[in-house]
Amino acid sequence: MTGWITLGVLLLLLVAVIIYTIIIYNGFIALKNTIIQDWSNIDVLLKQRYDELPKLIKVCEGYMQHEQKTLEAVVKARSMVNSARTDEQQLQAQNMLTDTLKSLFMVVERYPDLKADAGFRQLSYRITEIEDQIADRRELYNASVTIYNTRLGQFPDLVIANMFKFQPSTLWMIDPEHRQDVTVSFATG
Amino acid sequence: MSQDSLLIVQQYPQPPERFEGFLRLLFERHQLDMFQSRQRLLGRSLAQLAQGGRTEMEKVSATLAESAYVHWLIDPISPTFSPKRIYGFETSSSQVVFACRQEEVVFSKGGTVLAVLADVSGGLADKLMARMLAGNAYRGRDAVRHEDQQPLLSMILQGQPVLDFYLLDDSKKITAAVRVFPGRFNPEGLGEAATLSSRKNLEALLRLMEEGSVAFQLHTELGLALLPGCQLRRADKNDQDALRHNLNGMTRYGWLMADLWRHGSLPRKSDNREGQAAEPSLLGTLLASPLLAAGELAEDTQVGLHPLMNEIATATAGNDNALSASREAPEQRAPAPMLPAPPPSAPAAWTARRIWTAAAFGGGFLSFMLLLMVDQSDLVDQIAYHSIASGAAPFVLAVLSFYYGFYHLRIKRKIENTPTSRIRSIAMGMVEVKGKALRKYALVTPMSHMPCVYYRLTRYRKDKNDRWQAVSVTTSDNASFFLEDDTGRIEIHPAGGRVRAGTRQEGFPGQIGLTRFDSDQTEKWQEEIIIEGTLLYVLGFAAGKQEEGDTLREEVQTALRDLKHDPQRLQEFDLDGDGEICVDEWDVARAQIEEQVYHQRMMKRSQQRRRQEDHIVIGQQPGRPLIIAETHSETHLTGNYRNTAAGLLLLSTMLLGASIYLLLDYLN
Repeated sequence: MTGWITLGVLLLLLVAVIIYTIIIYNGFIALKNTIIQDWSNIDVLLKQRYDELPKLIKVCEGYMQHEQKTLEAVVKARSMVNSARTDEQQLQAQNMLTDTLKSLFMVVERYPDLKADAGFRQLSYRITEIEDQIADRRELYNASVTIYNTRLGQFPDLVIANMFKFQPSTLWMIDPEHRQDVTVSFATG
Repeated sequence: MSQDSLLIVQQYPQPPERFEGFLRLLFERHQLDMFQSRQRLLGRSLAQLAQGGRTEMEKVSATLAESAYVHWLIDPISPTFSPKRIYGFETSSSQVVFACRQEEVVFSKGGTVLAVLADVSGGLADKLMARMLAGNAYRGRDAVRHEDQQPLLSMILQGQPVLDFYLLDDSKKITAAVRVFPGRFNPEGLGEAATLSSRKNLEALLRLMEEGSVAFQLHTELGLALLPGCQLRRADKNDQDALRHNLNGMTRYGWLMADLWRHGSLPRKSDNREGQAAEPSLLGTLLASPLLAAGELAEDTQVGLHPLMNEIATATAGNDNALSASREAPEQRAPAPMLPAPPPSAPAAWTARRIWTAAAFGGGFLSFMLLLMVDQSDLVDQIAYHSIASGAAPFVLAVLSFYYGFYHLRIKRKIENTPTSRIRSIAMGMVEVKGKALRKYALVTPMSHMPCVYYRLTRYRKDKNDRWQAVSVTTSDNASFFLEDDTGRIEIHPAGGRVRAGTRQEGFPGQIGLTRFDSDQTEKWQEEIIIEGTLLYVLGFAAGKQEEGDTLREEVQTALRDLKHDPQRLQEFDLDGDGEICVDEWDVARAQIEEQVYHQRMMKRSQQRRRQEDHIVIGQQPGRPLIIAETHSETHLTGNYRNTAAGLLLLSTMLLGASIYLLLDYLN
């Protein structure tokens, strides 16, 4: 009788292990898709930013006659985004666009009339809002990747991951230049 | 209970200065729960703050007196007799003789009388309480106005009024009491004042007694004050039990009011704050002879009924002025926004899981009933015996435990595998958000009337074996709410979700607020509540909301219609200046209006993008979980799921072992 009971319990445990394996496997698949989705969701916002730029440049052109270089840099960065073929090129172009936009908003400080323009204010607010959202979604992407990578290294998920050859995913990294300390000079001219 | 002293407080309509500090003091010194103390001290009437040994209550009383809170410390006298019902009365210059069934009760003019007038149907108390709570729920406590200024007396008289007279001796002890039912007594004793209207006769009798007494008080707060044993049940005309209950409550109330009159309030009225005097209780002031005046003022002045009504009008008007003055104070508080009424509550959502569970239980129950109907009790016994002896029943339970164990495990992993999104950047699809719950609608719990974002109300009834059985479940599934984090706000639609509320309350029908005095009931309710402002975890599916409002075409049509009715603007499009708009000019106008409307719409949309709650809602999608949980951390939540899953899986293993053992034993 004990043998039968043991056998029954072992069978139950086996079924439990199989079901648990399925849950873990499905979890990995869901996580991988979440990572892809999170990345695509960043692209959605990047596209929104890309679409807003011509309107911003148009507004700025009327006021910033002496800042053609800055405006041209933004236009150039935008066209680079459009012509990027690989993920790396795309990432580089987006980073460049972010940098040129920052420069543009810094230069705007010299043009009070432009700052007072309702259209400009709305557009700049909208772009800043998108920038914030992009930052949030990058964090979300990194959070998804971290969960996935952590699962890959944890037991018992580790066994299933090795069995089905799940590979670690890469975190979104910022441009190394942005890690450098900002140098502030108080020297007068 | 009769050995205990009662501490009764005059409630404040609004929190006075340093109120929170005072609540903390009550807790630190006397271990009085801060939440309950707040509930008892704020309101528009009287409330029992505490009950206990005399020494302990004296200490609490001293704390209240320190902060000049008007209160009474009494050793209540249990009612030793009920008021006798009168059938008629005779009046003379020196006395009023009430004719009861077997005896007469004599009131010598110049004596002291305490009258209690109440609507014993409980309807008025319900109505006033609901009105006050609705005002609180819709506009916040600060916005509760003294809208009940209409003469309450006539409101009671229009209900199902009953009038009690308590005749008191010089030391305010009750010597006799009579009860008057309108239309059930001979009004001849009123003389010329007698009319065909039973309610007017009641009013006339009230006036007669008042005029004949040297000290008179009228109390009409029954059902509104939070006093022990003085709650009213909603009673239909044929509901004799409820009516009897209410009349008993009225007797207790009368005796308690006599106690309060005898003891007088602490601190004395003259010690009281001026500010407080200008801010009398809504019901205490409104409902005739205010209890603040109970001890001291009434002794000094004989309050007449007509003067009394004038006093009420003056007091409430003064109060209104005081309130309006305080509202126009320098800080000029903006009026609290009025929340819309919530959609009607719904019976608990019938999800697929619940349908299957109900079907399984229903099927089992029907089979059982069928077997009983054919009177084959032997067969029933045999089925029960064999299903257990063969291990079939434990096996079914093992399978169910196994299923639910893994279900909880799957939910746990889903929570762990979903990163938390910020609300401002939320994307469509499965999302996890955390934040503070805020009401979208003026939702209050149906029984305890607490402002909340979600409630689940379960009603229980005692069965033959004296066990509580759930008879109905109602939820606020249809009422969405908002979740707010540092970055924005989003709408949550809880229908079909698994909601884990952190607050539970139980009570009995007829109970007011959280105060419970009577536990001898056959029905009870339990509320699970998510109170506004609590931190919530939400895992659900974010989707776009259906756009409301006019289409672009409708907006253009409206704008063109407006243009047609505005000759001045229309003149701008009269390009040839002939005073008429020709077809070409109208086309130009139309094109311009279209462009204008389109730009306005785009502008509006780009502004709307900033408000996530306007265009995204998190809810349930078929096949995907929606979890709304009041929890301080995600780990705590997943820990609950893990423990439940582990328990169920362990149980299923044990049940399986037992079922195999039973099966083998059965086969042998």
